Amino acid sequence: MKRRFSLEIKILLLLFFITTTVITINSSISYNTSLKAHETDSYNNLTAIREMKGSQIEDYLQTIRYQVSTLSESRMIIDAMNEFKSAYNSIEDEINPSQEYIEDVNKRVQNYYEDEFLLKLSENTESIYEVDSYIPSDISSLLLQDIYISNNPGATGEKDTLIEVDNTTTYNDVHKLYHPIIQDYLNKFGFYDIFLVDIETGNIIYSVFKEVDFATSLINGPYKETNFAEIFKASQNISEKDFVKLIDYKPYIPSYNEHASFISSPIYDGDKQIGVLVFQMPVDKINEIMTNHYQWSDIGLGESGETYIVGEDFTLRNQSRFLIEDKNSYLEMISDIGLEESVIQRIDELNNSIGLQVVNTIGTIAALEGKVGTEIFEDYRGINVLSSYRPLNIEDVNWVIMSEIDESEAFEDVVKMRNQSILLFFILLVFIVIISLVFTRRLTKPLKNLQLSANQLEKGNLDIEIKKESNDEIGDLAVAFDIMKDSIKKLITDLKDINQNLEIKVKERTKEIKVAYNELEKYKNQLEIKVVEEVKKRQETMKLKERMENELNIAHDIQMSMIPLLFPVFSDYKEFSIFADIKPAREVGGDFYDFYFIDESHICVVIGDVSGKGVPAALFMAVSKTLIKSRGSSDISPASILSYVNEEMSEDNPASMFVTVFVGVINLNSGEMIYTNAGHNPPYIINCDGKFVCLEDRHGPIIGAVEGLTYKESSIMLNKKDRLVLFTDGVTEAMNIKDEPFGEANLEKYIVESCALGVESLVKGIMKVTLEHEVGREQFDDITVLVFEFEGRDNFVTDEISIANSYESLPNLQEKFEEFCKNQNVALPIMQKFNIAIDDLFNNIISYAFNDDKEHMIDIHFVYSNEKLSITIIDDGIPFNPFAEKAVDTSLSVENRDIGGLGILLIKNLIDDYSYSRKINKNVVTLTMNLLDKN
Amino acid sequence: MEVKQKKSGEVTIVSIIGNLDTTTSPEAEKVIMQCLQEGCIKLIINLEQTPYISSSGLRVMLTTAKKLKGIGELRISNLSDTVEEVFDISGFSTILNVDKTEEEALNKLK
Repeated sequence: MKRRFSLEIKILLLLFFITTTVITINSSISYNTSLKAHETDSYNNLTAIREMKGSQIEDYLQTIRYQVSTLSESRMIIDAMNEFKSAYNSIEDEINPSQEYIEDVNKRVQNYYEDEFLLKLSENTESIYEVDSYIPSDISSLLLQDIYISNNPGATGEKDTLIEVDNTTTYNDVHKLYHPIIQDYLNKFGFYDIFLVDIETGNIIYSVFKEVDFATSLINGPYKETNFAEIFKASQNISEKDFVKLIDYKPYIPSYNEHASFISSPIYDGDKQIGVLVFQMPVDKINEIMTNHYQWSDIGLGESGETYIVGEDFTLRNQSRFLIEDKNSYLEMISDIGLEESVIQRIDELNNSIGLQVVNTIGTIAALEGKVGTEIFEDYRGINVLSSYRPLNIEDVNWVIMSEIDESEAFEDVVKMRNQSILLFFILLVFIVIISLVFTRRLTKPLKNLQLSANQLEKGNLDIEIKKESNDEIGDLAVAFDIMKDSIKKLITDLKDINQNLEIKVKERTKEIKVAYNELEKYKNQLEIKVVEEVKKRQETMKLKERMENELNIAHDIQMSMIPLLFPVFSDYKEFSIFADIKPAREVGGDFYDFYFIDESHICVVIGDVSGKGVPAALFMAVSKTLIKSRGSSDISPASILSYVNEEMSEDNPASMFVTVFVGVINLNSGEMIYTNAGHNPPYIINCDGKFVCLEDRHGPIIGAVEGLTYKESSIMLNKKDRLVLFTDGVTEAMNIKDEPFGEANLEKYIVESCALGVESLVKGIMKVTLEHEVGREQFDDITVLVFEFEGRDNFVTDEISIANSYESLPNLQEKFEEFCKNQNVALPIMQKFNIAIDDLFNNIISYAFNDDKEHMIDIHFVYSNEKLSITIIDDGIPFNPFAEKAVDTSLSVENRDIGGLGILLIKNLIDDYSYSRKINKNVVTLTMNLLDKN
Repeated sequence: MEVKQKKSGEVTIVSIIGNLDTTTSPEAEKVIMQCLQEGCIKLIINLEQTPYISSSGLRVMLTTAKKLKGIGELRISNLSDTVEEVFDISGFSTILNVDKTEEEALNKLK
């Protein structure tokens, strides 16, 4: 939802927005402009100071160069050099000191070093110095240091006050002559010290202030590694007479480790260099110039500006302004940016930043690289400064001059102005808010009054008065509003009248509608009752039909489940192949087929057709098939099977139904088929070699019609590849649209032509041609086809013997069996095991299977193939299963052991397969040994 | 079937030549019982030349063993493979004294 702002707020916001924008833009432009202007001003100022101070320093140093050069060439210095040199060299001879005197001198000098020099030195350094490494060993040096330093009544730093001593040495005379002149020169120009150095020995043969470097050699004395020694060496062997060399500040031990810078010029006597004149640069002069005698603000450096020199080692060459003015916060700052603690401590202790404060800033780096510029960056305290820098133009040293001021100070005025602007901005804002509030109040008041009036109108108060309060558009609106109010008032009065009339009319019409509605309701109820009744009737009819269909479906399923429909079957058997198909004319039919093993060697095939179709036929078929199978499972005679089934079926057959059946029992060993045809279509036996036989003989009438019949049976030999084709009259009597039957002739022709097909393809082919013949008509009868192809068993031999049930006939059996085995080359252990089994089995049978004294014949069949040897023993005794006996306990000891049951135990363990079955009235025992895995 | 008998000291050795089955076992039993009556109490039955033995033959072995229990000893030797299998199945290998050779049986009886 959009937020609602009142008119007042909107005007207020608008004014607020405009004012803020204008002020902000204006302020920021003027701020930036003045910032820029200030920056430019500041840089100009800094650069002016930089240039002023830079040229001061350059001039100063140039002046000194001239001084040292001029002085070195003066006759006075040349003479002084010559005379000091010979006086220095002769002093030892002139004094000719005794050993004791030397020892005294040594002690005095040592005392001076320990009590005065080292004391003062230690104030400036933390390092520990050994006296011995500084005390000169040379006698001349020692004598001179004793006279002018340790024995000098002047305090340290005032050793220049001694002009002459009470001895008669040449050195004393020379010193007395030259010292006041050179001392005067030094004082006038403010040098720290002036030295004369012997060019050959490097001996400092004269010094104004006579610090401990006096009378030592710069070539092999204790200070040969100092910058003094360095400048001396640089001034040796110089052919240029006005050569001047300056060397940068470095801590110098004879000056108590303070920073010392030297400037030198060679002294020539004629063309021969006899020495070097060296000035030790004044310590304070550069500092004074750069710090303007600590009066920074006088030259326009304000509160935080300074100029300073930085040497090549990135350290200061003059004092930091901040060390002088505000030492504590300066030390804090450099500590904060991580300057080394020891350095900070030294700066603190010595109150000195020269040579200690590292200034490694953007500016110093740039300047040392020779660049000139102005820039804002962090200075050595970590504070942003405006800086103007350039390299100094001084011979021999690489110095840069920096002129800087804190950014905060440089822009102080700008910041002040900005703050004032902000303050002004807020004052203005308050003023604007007040003005706009007053203005909008006045503007919106008549509108608010109008709104109140409108609210009153909305509530139905049409008697209010709407006044014109202002003489503008709002006033006009108020007038228009008043007119509108009057119009509404009139309209409402009119409407009230119309409404009253309308109400009366509506009431009348409502009454009429009610009557009509009641009438309609009555009709509707009557109709509903009729519809419900009709629907009920229809539903019942549907249910009944559904149930019947359902039951028929179930019946069909049951019927089909009785018939072996899954193919391939018996695919393990190479002796034959079989395939069948059935297509009932209705959901249920009367045709059926079946096939199953009666025993190891006999397979039974059945095909049948019950009279009639539908449920009754299906039921009759189920009974027939079940009876045939139950009998056929234990009876290898088809005539016997069918005689039995006919008896059962015709006994109670009120519907006078009947069934045509063909039953064939095929001996897989021999190929002999025994068959009985009870009124069924004659089957065919064909093969691809041209054999074609129609089994036309009939062995009795249809099953179920006449009681007490005995069916006959026939026998035929099947050869390898012979096919038995069984079918029902659904095939031959299939009608086409011209009412012509498919007929035997067509069938025969088809099966002869299709002898190359496999059993499955042949069956499907027959079904197909039959159905094709019937195209255009409803299937009239069930169609069933079964084809059995005989392959035969390879290498199998059979024999048999019939013997009486007495022990005496046992040897006959044994003899016959052994002969059979020998003929087939059966392995001896196999034969022996069978011998044991036959002996014990026969024993059991004659002991238990007969309960009369009559003679019974026992049939024994031997069957041998490459794979198996089996013996079947068939007797017609009472039911006796020898293998049903319970197991013998073989773990009993000799005295507890009964011999009974041992024979069966032996058979079970010696023979691979044993089986017992009761077939009709016979016991059939089969023993089988697998021959293949025995080799 | 033929039964041969010989003596080695007080031990009697009965050798069965032929199968021991329903037909032949009564004959063998008769010979052995006769021997027992004559006082053979240490008896060895050598089955070296017996290709197979059925339960009737086993019955003879068991009867003999039972008779000698407590008064003498029966040892059976030289079983053929088939006979040995029958002995194993029936448990006779464990309840009767069976030896590999006649000598072994003799040594055990002496």
